[in-house]
Amino acid sequence: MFQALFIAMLLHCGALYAAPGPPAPNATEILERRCIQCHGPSVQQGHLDLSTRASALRGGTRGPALAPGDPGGSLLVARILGDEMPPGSPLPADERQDLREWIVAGAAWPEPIEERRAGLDWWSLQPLGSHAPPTSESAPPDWQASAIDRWIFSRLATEGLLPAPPAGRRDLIRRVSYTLIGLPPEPAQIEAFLNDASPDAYERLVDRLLASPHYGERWARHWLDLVRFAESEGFERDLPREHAWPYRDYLIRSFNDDKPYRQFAIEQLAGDVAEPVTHDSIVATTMLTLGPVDAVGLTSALADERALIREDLLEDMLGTVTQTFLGLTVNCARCHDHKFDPIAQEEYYQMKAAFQAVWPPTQPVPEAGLDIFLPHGRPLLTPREKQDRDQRIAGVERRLEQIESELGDLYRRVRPADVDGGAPSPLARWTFDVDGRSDFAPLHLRFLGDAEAHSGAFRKIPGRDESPDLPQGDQDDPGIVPNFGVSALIASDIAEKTLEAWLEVDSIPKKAQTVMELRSLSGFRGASVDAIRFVPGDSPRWENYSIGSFRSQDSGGSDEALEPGKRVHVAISYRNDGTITVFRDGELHGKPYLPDPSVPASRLQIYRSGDALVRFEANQHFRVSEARLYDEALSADQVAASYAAGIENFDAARLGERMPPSERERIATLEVERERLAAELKGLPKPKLAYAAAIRPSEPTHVLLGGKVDQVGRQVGPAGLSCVQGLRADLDLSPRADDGERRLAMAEWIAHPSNPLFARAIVNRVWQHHFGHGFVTNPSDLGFNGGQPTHPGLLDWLASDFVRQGWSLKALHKRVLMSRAFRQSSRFDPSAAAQDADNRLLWRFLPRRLDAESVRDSMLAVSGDLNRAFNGPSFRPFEYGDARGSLKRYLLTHGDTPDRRRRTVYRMNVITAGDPMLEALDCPLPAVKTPQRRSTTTALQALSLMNSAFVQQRVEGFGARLRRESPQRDARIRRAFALAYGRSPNGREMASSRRLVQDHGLESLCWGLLNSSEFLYVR
Amino acid sequence: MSAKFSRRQLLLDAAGGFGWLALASMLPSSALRSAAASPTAGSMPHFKPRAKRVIQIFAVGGMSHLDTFDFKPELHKRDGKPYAMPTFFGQGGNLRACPWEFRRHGQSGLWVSSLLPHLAAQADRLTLLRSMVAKSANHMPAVAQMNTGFILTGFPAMGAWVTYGLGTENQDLPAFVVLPDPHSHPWGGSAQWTNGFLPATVQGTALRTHADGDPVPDLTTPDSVSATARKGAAAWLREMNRSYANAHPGDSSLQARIRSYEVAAKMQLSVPEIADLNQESEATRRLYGHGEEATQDLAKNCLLARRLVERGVRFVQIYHGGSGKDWDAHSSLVKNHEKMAREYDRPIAGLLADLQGRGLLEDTLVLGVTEFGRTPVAQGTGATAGRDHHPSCFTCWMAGGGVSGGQAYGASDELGYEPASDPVTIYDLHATALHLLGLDHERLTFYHNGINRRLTDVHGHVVRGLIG
Repeated sequence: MFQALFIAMLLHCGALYAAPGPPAPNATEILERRCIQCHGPSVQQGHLDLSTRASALRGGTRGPALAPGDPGGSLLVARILGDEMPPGSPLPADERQDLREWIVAGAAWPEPIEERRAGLDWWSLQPLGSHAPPTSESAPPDWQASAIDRWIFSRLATEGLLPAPPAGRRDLIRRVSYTLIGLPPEPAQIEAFLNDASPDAYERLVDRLLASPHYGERWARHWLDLVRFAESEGFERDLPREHAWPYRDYLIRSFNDDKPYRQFAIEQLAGDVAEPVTHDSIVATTMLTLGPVDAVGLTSALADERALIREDLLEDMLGTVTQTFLGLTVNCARCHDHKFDPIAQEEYYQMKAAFQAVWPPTQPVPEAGLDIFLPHGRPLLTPREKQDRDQRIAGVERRLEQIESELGDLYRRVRPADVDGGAPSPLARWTFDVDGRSDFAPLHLRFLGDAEAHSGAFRKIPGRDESPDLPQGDQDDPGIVPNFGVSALIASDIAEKTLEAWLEVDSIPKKAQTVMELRSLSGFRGASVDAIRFVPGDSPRWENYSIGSFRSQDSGGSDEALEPGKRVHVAISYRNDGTITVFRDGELHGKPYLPDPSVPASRLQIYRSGDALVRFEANQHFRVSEARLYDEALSADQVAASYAAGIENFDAARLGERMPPSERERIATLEVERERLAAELKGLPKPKLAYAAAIRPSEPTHVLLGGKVDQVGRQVGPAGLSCVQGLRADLDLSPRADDGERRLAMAEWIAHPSNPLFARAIVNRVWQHHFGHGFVTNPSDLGFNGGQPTHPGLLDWLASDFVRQGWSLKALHKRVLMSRAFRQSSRFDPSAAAQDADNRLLWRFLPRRLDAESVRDSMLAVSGDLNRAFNGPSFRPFEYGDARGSLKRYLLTHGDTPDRRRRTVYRMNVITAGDPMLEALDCPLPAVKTPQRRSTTTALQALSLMNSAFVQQRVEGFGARLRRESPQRDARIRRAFALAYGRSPNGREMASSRRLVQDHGLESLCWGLLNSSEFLYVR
Repeated sequence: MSAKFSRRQLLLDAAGGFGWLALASMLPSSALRSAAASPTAGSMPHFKPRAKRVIQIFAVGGMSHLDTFDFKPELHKRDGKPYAMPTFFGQGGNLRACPWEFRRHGQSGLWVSSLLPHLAAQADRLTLLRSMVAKSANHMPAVAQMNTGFILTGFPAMGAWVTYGLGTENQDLPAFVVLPDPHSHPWGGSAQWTNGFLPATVQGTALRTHADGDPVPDLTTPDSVSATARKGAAAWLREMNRSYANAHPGDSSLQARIRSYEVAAKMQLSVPEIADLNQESEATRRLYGHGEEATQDLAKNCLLARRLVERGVRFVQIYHGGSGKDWDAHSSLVKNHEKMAREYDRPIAGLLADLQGRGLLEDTLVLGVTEFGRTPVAQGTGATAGRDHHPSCFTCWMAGGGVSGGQAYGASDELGYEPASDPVTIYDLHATALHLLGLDHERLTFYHNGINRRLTDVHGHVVRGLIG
């Protein structure tokens, strides 16, 4: 058959193009596809039902829908021709013509149009049934023992089919090893199992594998597929998420500990609020936030674009939650009622209301004067720990603040109160004596990242990594916060202004450096900014920086030749008429300039009270000794005078000379205390971080008409789905319930013992992984499109049993794996295949190719190279660097380091750093929710297995292992077969292998084994 | 319960061979109807295709329609006048005239600017879509929408859909080949040519155009392995796989696996042969601008594209630009677009002429796309001013593949701000391209997590006015 198909394939292109197109769908098919959703048996908008001829002729509120023979007199035609129906998606011309002709011909309705959607009576929405397993007298005795087998046998029998004989023990141990731990059994384990004559040999094997810590690794990977586990943000920058891996470890631990599935679910939905809150349960909420984050779009100046991106994030979250736990695609109801399942659009928004406050832990936020969203982590602190820590920090900080305030007062008392030189008093002045406090207006600075005040200057703490967007996966890394000093909000409008700063030059920057800026907060990327910036290059200079360069210009000053060790004074003044003047060391730097006054963004920017702040950016090139903000444009004379007067830079000795001895002593005491407190703060253990749900203030949830962000409908609160039978949708929440209460109530509704979808969905998934397909073949869709289950009674029986057994997945595994159905052979039966080609009724065990991770892990295991280290940060088989573009990229590397010999589940799942071999073996893109892997066979897959650096490394490792473990050729060949296949070579194989090894070396045999079907398949 | 269903699954998953259309034509429609994978498929109505293959050229970063293909005299008149409009970066400037001269070209008299003289000379082959509308003003989502129809990550690229629909004409090559700019990948990297939820058999294969070495990952035998050793081991492997397949009849994927190794071996020979541009005549290489610094990179990719489609590759996507070098002229519009246009113009004009000369243009659809246009207002002022992102109106172009050339479809308003007539969404563009290939965009579906997914989501109309 297969060859015939290939011939057909070779011919198909020519044949296909010559073939005349089959007729267009007939008229009732058009009605079914286009109209029946709103005018059918279950929904009759305008009281119109087009499912039968009689009901169409009866018509709706506007009269009969059609007049057979008279398209001109048919309302249906008029509404369609007028582009009124279907709303928003007018019919193509050929379909309009078909409908007309059909009415002319009399509008025949061969049979009522069936609605292709689920109603409230859909099977999966009903409470779990409690049917007894059927008894089949024709069943052999060993198929009568377990409930599973009775159902499987009886269903086979009704189709006239029989199960396959039991599998041999070699196949069985290999099969059960892969399904439970994803690794091949070792030769010694195989032999032990073969020689174990006790009746419970298989059961003990299953128990041993269930107890193996590798079990958690295997089953965590299945879960990671479901929840689109990505360790990068996706979109334009695809920044690495350094703190997502704790979630992977959480999964591994949870599976290994056999955490009750209900608890497992509630933790992932609301572990940050469900008592008892633990670090683990906070990490669990990472599930909600793993979708790609469009960090650039979230800062768009277009409000609708930002809103759309937020709604997309929430849809991804809702889709993941409902598909994973309920097997329902509630996300399909974002724009309209669900097309196939009885879920109203409003219900999507009711579910969304429970998750409305959940954000990915991006940091920082625009409110902090930052216009970038970077992946970060949520500190792992339980509410209690957080309270303790906050209290402790607050205590120290309060004390520190008192000391700094007293110190500041002492210094300020001997520092001239006014600025010198005849310049007017600034709005605010920062002298960085000991902190970020300001004089005059209270615009005290908060320091972020590595910014600090030190020895009278604002600077970047030396010795830290220079690139804030290049995090290194270190738990103790303070994060990737830029190095800013950010002021409090300015409490007055500022129109004319001057920025002034004294800088100590330590080195010459190669990139442009912004030093001090005034910025507005509203408008995201469109926010106003005016800043002192150094621009290196052909004509190094000081410049006013503004977004879009509207107010930036080379003022034509002579080249700035910075000298390390020298102080520079820079001031920029902004006049009402838009003129901008740059000064250096008290003199004009080039000429004043007037940006194009016809452009609003080029004119003088007015910063509004409460919407603006001052931000200093620390770098390793400059230290800022003093800075001033004036709310007027200083004249050239005033700037010159200010420069001439200079600054009273912090110099403890000099300022101290002016104090009485008692005050000097007091300062010494305070400094000691300050050091001590600072050390205490620094010494506090840093909380660990995880890419878990970050909670922001909740906003009200509104239905969005048509899913459009600018068409806001009525406000809704959280509720479950009304279609689920036997469980109330109302969550009994007070209108004032906060985010945590709402989300927890939703979690408990989803995971409710009476929610039939919750248990059915997971039981179906477990079955799918053991047998190759579930009772329902679309495991994340138990709705209409998922179809009917093959064994509804068995599914419900297992689900009920699962709930009874305390939601134990291991108990469920064991029940399934102990069945005869699982233990039958994979023998092919052409007559059974003719009836059930997909083996959905389980007339045999379905052989299958290993998934990508199992292939890679098995190669590591067989070659003896597997590094079995558990848990911890992901290994990174790439360099993350600047590859000729403006953004950093991931460049795959192929070194054979020990961490890369870990199991594949520990490989960092970066969206744009996929491994060609794993991808060719159907490893999904991390951003895609993948309830079921495919199993393709392609030439690219063959090339990867033949030639990739990884396979070559394993081939060499395998060869070295054989040489190490076996003294001579034949023993090596036997050992090689035992490791790769779990069996000995037969005579023919032995002979050909001897020839191969003799002519082309042991590695050729290793390569052949690792590429062979027998190695790559399990049966 | 259909035996046919399994065969269909197998064919989708095997060796990149069958298109979905081919399956539809081979299997009774009832079998497909029962297949959960595509409940809406029904009996596949396919049209007579006008194009058999596609070359798509992506100008990454957002090519300015106002400075290339969309002449706006009104913009000249109002140069420097204020005009309030929201922009991605905020703070739009005044209206800005195109700094280049527009002229009519060819018999058709299409307006093209002096930035693209070689393409202008091909005006009678071009169809300009001057009323394109995109959904996002943000690069990565906008590039994703042009490629996949969606602004989110994880949906299959058009090349994957086309391969899914039509399969391949050359079993020895991937059906969907991507030629990234040697400088860098576009934003999103390989996610831009992913198969998404479609079988991996239809994923785009990116040739490594930036470096020496294998054009396809893992194409060549490792250096440490001798050719004879590999030959011997491959023979041993073939024998082992054959006897394993014979011992397990009924598992057809085992046969497909043997076949996949045969195809891989053929690719090891055919791909380097295709990549060897020295086989082209000097005149042909010159036609593309091969050998000249500005045009060398794209010329290579355009030549390669022609060689690939000649050999039956279904869908070739060429990127011009990527992260760090692109059409994204926020500042210095003149400098940026002159550089990018110089790189773009001649290789593509050469490609069109070469395809025409070889009789390939007739059934090869060449699609010139970009993720969005650029604003009629300046971003910034003075000599360094640029233009911001502008998704609400831009221009794409088509040539060959049954599209009559020398025409413009749709028109923008007097400032090129919005379509004035016949707006064309990206869904429409995709629906039209599929139609030209004989595929109905509403029926080329794939079930995934609750939805019968389409390239065109729930939108899209074939632009009949485009089709000659």
